[in-house]
Amino acid sequence: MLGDFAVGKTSLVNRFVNNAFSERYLSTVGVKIDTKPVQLPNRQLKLVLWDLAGSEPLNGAAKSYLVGTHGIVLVADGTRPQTLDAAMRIHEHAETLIGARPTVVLINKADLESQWRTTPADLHNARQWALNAWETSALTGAHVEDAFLTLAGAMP
Amino acid sequence: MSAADLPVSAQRYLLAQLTNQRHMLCLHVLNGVGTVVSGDPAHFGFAVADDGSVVTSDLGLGVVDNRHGLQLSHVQLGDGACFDLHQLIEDERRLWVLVDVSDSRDEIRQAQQRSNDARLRLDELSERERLLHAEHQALRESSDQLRRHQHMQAEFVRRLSHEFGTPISAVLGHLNLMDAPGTTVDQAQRSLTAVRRGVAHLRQLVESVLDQARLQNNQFELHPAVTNLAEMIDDFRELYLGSSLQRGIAWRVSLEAHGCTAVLIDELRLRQILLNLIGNAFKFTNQGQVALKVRWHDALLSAEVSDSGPGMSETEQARLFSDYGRSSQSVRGTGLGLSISREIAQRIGGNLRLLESAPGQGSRFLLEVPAPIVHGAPEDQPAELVAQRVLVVDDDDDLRPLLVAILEQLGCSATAVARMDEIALDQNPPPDVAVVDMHLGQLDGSVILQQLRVSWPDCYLLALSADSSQDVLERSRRAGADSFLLKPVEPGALSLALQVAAQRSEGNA
Repeated sequence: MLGDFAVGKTSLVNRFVNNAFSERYLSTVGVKIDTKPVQLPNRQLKLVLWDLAGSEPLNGAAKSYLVGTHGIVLVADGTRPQTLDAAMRIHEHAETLIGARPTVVLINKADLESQWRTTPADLHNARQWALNAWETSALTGAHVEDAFLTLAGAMP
Repeated sequence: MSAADLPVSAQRYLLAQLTNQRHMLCLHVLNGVGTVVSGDPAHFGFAVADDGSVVTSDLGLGVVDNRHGLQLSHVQLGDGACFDLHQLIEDERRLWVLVDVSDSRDEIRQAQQRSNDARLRLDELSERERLLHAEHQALRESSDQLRRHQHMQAEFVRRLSHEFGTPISAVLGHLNLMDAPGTTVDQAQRSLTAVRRGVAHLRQLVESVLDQARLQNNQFELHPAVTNLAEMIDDFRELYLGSSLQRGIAWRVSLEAHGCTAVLIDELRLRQILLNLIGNAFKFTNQGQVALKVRWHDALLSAEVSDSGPGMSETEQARLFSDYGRSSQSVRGTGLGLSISREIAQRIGGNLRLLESAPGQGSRFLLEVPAPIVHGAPEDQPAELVAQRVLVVDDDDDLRPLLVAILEQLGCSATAVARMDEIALDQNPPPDVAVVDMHLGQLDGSVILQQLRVSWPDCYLLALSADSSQDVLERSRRAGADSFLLKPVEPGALSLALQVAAQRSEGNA
């Protein structure tokens, strides 16, 4: 899970793994690891989710955390367009460290409609290079499972 | 196994890591093929897979093949434990040491959260500043726009005062002159012509202002009807013939219709646009020529109006179609004509544009509107107007006798009443035609129309109103009116309506 701080990475994992949501913002230190078994059409898989503390650019310890990564969930906050640009830069940096990996893009906090500032074009652009992109909400759960399962299906 | 069993180098490393606040959570020792040989595999994400190859499945480290060791700080598992993870390589063994860092994690988190919160607030402030700036910019633009609009409106009102004042003065002056003792018949005739001209001009001004208001308030309605192209073009030719001869300006009119005689279009509005274009061309041209080229092809009517007048600079062209976008030349008019014409053309589904113009080079306008062909339209032979008996119902004391006079000039026998109770419904035979005003004081004309439709089923009912809105048209139609006539009544339009009534009467007979 990569992205700028406070975009909702931990909340997305919490929604996907525990089907829960907390309004309280608790900054992640280092890395938080969760697991979730998923059933794909042709196989069962145990996803080990490494939720990295949000920072842009990636800090010096990032390479250690990224070793062994099979896929990337790139997260931005739809109410802060600058986090989408930050996500792109983070992704580019990660690729220079570990090479290309299957990636899905989640523009999160879709429930905050009145503050939404990214555009359909942003979503369209992300779909040009990522496996897929969604406007997600950790609060409502919208498209959260779609995103994780799509990535799981693309991983070895 | 304890730390004392570790190789010396590993012990030194661990001593450097462990302090008062940091203690070792557990130690796992794996052999060269990755199997746990010491420590409880169930702790902190370590587990042995069935094939024995994956040793840290819950940490996702099973696939890591790092021969130089690995260090991960602040690793937090789902159970809340937080540790720094050290992997040491010693004699083909991998030693995994987990050091508790829960306390420092909390301290770091607090500091990090304060920093993140501050950045979020900064972002929020920047966003508010951006929005405020955008709002300020929008306000400034709308304020500028309002100021420009107010200036244009003030200019428009000033111009209208002048435009209305001039013909009103002329009309009143000539009427006084006609009334003055000793005025000869010739003088009275000249005054009458001047009064007629002044009133026609006033009507045109009022129509322009009303059209603009209707367009702005979205109350503009179109009434497409069968329109004879050749007839309309002939009318234009005749209309400006006198003016062109008098001023020595060549007036060229052509129609290329590709076999089309009649089209479906709002003729009144089409004429309005073309009259505006041709009128402007004559207004600005002092020598040379004015030309109207009309072409119909494939359901599209295009009309090009060109002149050899003074032409326009680029600045004048830029404001040509804006409201009050009057050219710099000092001429009469509201300055609304072209903007209204373009708006109407667009409402019809077409467009009006300036093809070319340059100072001293004249101007060329092109109107393009959809005009579907009407097959089998009746040849427009003027039917002989048979004497008809006509009843006029209108409460306006000036208009009522005027209508009677026009009808009598057209060869009809006309009577007029002002109120519903004055109508002799039992007269036998009933009138051939009844002309009913739709606004009779407090009474809605449609009530009379309904009564007449019941009492005189064969009578041709003609509704009359200055209001051509869809609502009035629909009410008159529902009340039983056969046709609708717009005030002020043109003798030609009334004559046409009577011809249609006569044709229907013959058909019924």
